[in-house]
Amino acid sequence: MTISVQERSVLLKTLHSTKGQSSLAISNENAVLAYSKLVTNMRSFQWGMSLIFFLVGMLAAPMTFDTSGSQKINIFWLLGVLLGAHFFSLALWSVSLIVNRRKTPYSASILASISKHLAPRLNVPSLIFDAFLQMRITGNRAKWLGARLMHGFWGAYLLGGLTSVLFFLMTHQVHFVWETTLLTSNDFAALTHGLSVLPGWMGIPVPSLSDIQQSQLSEAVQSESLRQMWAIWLLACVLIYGVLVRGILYLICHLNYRLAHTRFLSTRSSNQLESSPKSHIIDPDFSSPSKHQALNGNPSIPSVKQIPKGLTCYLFEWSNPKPSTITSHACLHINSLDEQKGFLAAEHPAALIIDSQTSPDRGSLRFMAQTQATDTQYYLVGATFCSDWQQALIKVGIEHSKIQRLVE
Amino acid sequence: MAISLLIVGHANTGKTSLIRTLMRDRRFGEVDNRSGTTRHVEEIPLSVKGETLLRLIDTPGFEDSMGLWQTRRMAPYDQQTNQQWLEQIITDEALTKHFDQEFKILNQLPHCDITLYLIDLRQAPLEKYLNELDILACANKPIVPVLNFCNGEPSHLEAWKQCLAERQLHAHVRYDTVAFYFADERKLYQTLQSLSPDHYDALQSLISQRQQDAQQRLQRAQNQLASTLISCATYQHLCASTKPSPQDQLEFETKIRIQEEHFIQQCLGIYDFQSSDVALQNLDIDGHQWEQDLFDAQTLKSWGIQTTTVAATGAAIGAGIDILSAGLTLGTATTLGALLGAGWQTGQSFKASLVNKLRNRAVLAANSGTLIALLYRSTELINHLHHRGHAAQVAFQAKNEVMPSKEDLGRLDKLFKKLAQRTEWQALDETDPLPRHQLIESLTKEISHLSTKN
Repeated sequence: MTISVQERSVLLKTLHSTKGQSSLAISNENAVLAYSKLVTNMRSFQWGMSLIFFLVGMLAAPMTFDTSGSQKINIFWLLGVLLGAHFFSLALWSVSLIVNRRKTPYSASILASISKHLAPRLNVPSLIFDAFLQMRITGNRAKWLGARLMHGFWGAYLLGGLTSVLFFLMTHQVHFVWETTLLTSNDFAALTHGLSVLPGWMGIPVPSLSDIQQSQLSEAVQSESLRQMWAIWLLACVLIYGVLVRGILYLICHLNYRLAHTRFLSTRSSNQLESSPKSHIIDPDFSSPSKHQALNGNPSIPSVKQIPKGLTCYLFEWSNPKPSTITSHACLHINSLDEQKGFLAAEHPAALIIDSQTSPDRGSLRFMAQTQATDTQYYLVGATFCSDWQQALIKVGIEHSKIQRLVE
Repeated sequence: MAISLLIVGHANTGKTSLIRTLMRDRRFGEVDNRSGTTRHVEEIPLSVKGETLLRLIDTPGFEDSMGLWQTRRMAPYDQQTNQQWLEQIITDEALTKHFDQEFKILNQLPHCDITLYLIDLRQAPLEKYLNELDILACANKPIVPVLNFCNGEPSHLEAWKQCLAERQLHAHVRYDTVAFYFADERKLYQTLQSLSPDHYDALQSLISQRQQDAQQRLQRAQNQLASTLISCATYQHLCASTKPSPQDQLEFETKIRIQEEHFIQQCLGIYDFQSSDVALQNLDIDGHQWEQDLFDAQTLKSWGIQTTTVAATGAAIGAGIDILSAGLTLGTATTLGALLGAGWQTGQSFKASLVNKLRNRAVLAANSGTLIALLYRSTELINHLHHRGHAAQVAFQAKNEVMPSKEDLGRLDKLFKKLAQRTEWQALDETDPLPRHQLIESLTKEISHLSTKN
């Protein structure tokens, strides 16, 4: 698996949030597989291109050694040709970095057209491709990824050049000279010294003032050690100012890209500020769960709109306004123990009106069980817990025929 | 040492809901309208930065307090003190079967610091509830009444206040399962502070932490909305030809809808809710059909937004979409600016439009009316989520609560028209900070103005 668990979950989240899975017509596993394939493809593309640039560098560098018959090579000209383009591109990149600090390098239309053209060619569902672009190549991540690719390719090109220059110098004998019309020899001495500072720190032999003077275009044949020193100096300059600079920048961009990518994943995956703490049960319930039994097999109860005139009405634990159907009746309340006792001792028949918008509790049912022996009709008002009440009343021994629904 | 809070009340008054809200965890426990949903005693630590400040103890509800309180007046208990009765009643095996749930509460009473007594204000102060208070009072622990469903109908607030005052319970806290206000929660903690001065600082840090969290969530939701709006405003769909086809329109609309859906998902995530918690005018966020379509002229009209621009162009395209050409995308001033080389960025977007023009392809962009509707219904969602209790079980429906005035419409129209020209912001990533620009500042100002209105 080329992608992390976190990336996988963010991918699925992204896919789900952009389009329902139904319209995606692809399973989670296949989506992850297609995405991983894209990630692998991107890596292969990067390595393939790096190899091409390496080869181009290898082919291009020896051309600069065109000595056209003579064995003399202008050392500063050579250095300029080898590193000039690289420095020019580096300068451009630095300027773009400063100018476009708050701007992303790719506009959406470019991304959209890439997605449109590339997705079918790679045989990847465009939805996955869009998710890939969104997760890997958007915003800051695009900036750092682009820079990383560019530095990588330049690094490969320069490394190729360095390799072929090394082979060339191992197999050819050349004299390194320099010449000028406008500048003085002091300028060259200063330039050489400036360039030699870094190689000097690394313990690479650097040309002295007399070496530089000896190498000015002259007919004198150079000694072997002088030739070697210039060759090593040249290789060191290409290595340090070319390959190493690109390598370091590659690393910086790579780290920044990783950072932006991890940040993106973590913002996408963690939405909770604090993780839920662990709760624990300190006094478990051992009773049999009788409460939530399915309420089936309950014969339906008749609905009435009126309470017969002769009955005394009692509102049991009533919190709502009086039902409109019994406004004409005089009603008594049963809200306390004394009132419960009063009801049991009073003359019957009576009508007990129960609020079945609230769920029956054990206390109410204990009282209902006591009323069982009296001549009482039970009226349920409200639909929410109607069948719960019906079942509970029958359970405490009240005849089914005595229970009715009072509807408006 | 953390304060231990015993949460008690009659069955089905919202004890577990209160805990969900205090914990900001909609998954805790089981919530149902039936009595006796919670039948065990569960302890939940509430921690800030790893330190446990409160221990919430969820209990089964009282169901037969009247029966239990009757035993207080029976021999041999009538001769005992309250404390003795409490200690001995729970050992009475003859009563255990019937009062199993109540005894679970009584067992916890001696170990807690403060009792939170939940009251369902929709119920009158019946004797069975008052007996619960009588029983709790026997333990001589401070009792804080929590008035739940304070926005419900009917409300017996005054009757309850009277009964509580008779029992010397003057400090009470309001709470609503559905609409939750931080001020109520703060008052609860402040009440606890006054009852338990030893824990003053710990509770203070809890209050400020909660306040900070709330602020942070709001900020994140607002930022999310800003980047969604920028992304929608700057999105341009390149058509295949000069005349947009129905396919083009569909693709464009889908893109904008996806952005809104994504925003909703992110917002729900920020506030830790589920998709089922939000039914935005039948907007099915699982990606089926929308009733209240953003690109329906009626939707815009319901916000008081006129779509005359569409009629003027006379194009066969849905409401809320503009067809752009080079001349329309850029104001005259910007075009001039670009020609004079005034800015790199203006030049860039000018170039893009020019290229499209030369290519002979139409470009679709969201109308500022659409964006205004999106802004209003999104801020309504943020407002709702900000005040939604984590125990609420009803889905939210957008209601067009705040209507834009004429001045608002004019100002926003200008703002979104300017924003639409900044196509370079299209590729902005939501995880990157927003660019510092005066236009974006105005947009965030509008958002925070709308999403803190209540």
